[in-house]
Amino acid sequence: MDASDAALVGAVGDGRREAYEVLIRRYAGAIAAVCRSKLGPRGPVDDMVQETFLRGYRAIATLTEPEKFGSWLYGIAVRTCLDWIKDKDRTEVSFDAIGAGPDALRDRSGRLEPDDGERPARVLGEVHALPEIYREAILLFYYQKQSYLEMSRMLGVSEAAVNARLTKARAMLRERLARAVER
Amino acid sequence: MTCAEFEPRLGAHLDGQLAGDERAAVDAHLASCDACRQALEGIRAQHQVLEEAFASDRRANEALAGRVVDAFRGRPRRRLWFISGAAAAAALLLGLLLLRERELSQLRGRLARSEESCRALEEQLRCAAIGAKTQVARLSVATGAVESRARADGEWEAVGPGGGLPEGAWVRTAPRSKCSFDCSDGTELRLNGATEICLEKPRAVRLARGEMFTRVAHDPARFTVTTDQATIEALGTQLNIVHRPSESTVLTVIEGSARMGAQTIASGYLCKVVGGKVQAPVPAHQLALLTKWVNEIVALKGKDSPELQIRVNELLAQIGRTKMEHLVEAEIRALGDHAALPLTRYIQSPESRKDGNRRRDAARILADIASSPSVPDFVALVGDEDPQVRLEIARGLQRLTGQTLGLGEKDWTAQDFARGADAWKKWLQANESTWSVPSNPKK
Repeated sequence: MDASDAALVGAVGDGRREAYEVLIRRYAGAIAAVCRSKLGPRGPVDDMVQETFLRGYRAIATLTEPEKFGSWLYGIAVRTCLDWIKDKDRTEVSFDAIGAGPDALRDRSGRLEPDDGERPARVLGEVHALPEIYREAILLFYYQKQSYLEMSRMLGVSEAAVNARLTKARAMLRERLARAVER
Repeated sequence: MTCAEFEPRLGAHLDGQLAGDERAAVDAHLASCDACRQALEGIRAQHQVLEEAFASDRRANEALAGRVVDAFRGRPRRRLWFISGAAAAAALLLGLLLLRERELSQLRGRLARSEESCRALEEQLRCAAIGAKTQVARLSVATGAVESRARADGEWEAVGPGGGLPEGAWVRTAPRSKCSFDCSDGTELRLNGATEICLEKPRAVRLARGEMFTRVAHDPARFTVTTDQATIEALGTQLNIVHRPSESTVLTVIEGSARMGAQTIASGYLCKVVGGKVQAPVPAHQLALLTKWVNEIVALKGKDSPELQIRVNELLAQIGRTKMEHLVEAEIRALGDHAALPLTRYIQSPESRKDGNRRRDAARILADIASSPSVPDFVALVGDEDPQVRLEIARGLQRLTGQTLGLGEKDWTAQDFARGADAWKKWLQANESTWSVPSNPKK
């Protein structure tokens, strides 16, 4: 059986760095989903994930409830992204950071491009246009395939709330995509 | 249980997240209910689309975890977030993690200066290569690929941010790329996707195809845009021009006026030239929607841009006044977090108090789209005099922070709502280190 988060955090506290590598592999996808939700598809997600884990390692001695490592790390990821947003001069956009945003997927009249080959990009564009908590729920579920229980622990909400957010997010997506097709 | 009660469980059922009893109950209901079976199929189809859309990201997750582990083991990181991919930086980055904050800050400064020098050098080399012609425009922002060539028969080359263009240069954008050039006379040229222009002379542009939006700087010298259909002389500042080669040119005057042939077109009018014949100008409706393609460029220029504020205000003004209001609201929402500061400022402005409904619309959209840095602004707004605005802002605070501070709808509509506003202020003071990223709206 896989070691629990609490056991791994304890091992890190005893100076076993390799235990932290297990935690990195366990949470990298979820933290990437959170960073992507905060920064959008064009944000420096990889770098924020690295920064989150480095900050987490430096601060792990302050974690008083080791079994809540996931939600604690989630808080660090949010803070790391906020710091980046605060620091970065957002009027500058580097070419290599440019990807397809929701608007880039529309033609001149505002219609979403009908090409079926573009469907994943179109869907991703609409996901990123959702309000933050719904976008985050969709990303955590589909980006990382987390269970409702894992998501609830990380987000610090009940499993019912996770279900409600995913249900609402899916309904909003269906409505947005249907509206785009009608146009 | 009714269908309405089963509906929220269908997604969880599909995701395999229901416990035994609950799962059996949903299965039993599905066996006897066509409507719910149909709803489940809809969710399943959508689930497959989302699975497919995120497939490559899931595959990339393992590699990402590997890179983070490498960084943790002290191997050089691929790229640090505050530094762009400049190759010259690589050597400086080694051992960076061991440096203290003060040293890091010095290093950032040095790196910024070295990148600046590199850019200046590249610019000088570029000028030398094109025969030291006068530069007439510089690329300020772009959402994708932009290319230029010095002559009509030259090779297309990519233009980077800040890239200068000489007189006579041609520019084209990729199908979905938008960009903006700052001209030496202060004029701004914005190009939509699949557009091609030639900067024939200072203040003389040829539009070969596509769509452009100009903000023309005042100057005694005339400013013209020529197509194979017409020559447009800008007498005012803001024009939008769409050109289909050998077919038509459509000019919309947003601000000021323009002359095309014998016609003078006033702001708020559009004028078509088809087959070389200038038609009579007609009123243009929904200017904010008509030129919505520039919103992305305006947003990239910074949340603090007065033009972004004007655009958001114009879009807000359309809500409730047009059959297409859902399109208008969608445009504001499409600006995402970029619209948060303009909406906040609108709600705080004395003018907005003249139109309570519009102000409530602004609060409703703001509560949906703002991201975490708006929390201090929300705490300032939650004591608003309008109960509906307070409710919306409290909903936004709950969305952003996950908290209600135990305050419900009644608390925000009650006479002593100030108690709730004070509670949020105290909460912000106690959590200042996490949430204090003020966006500094005008008070």
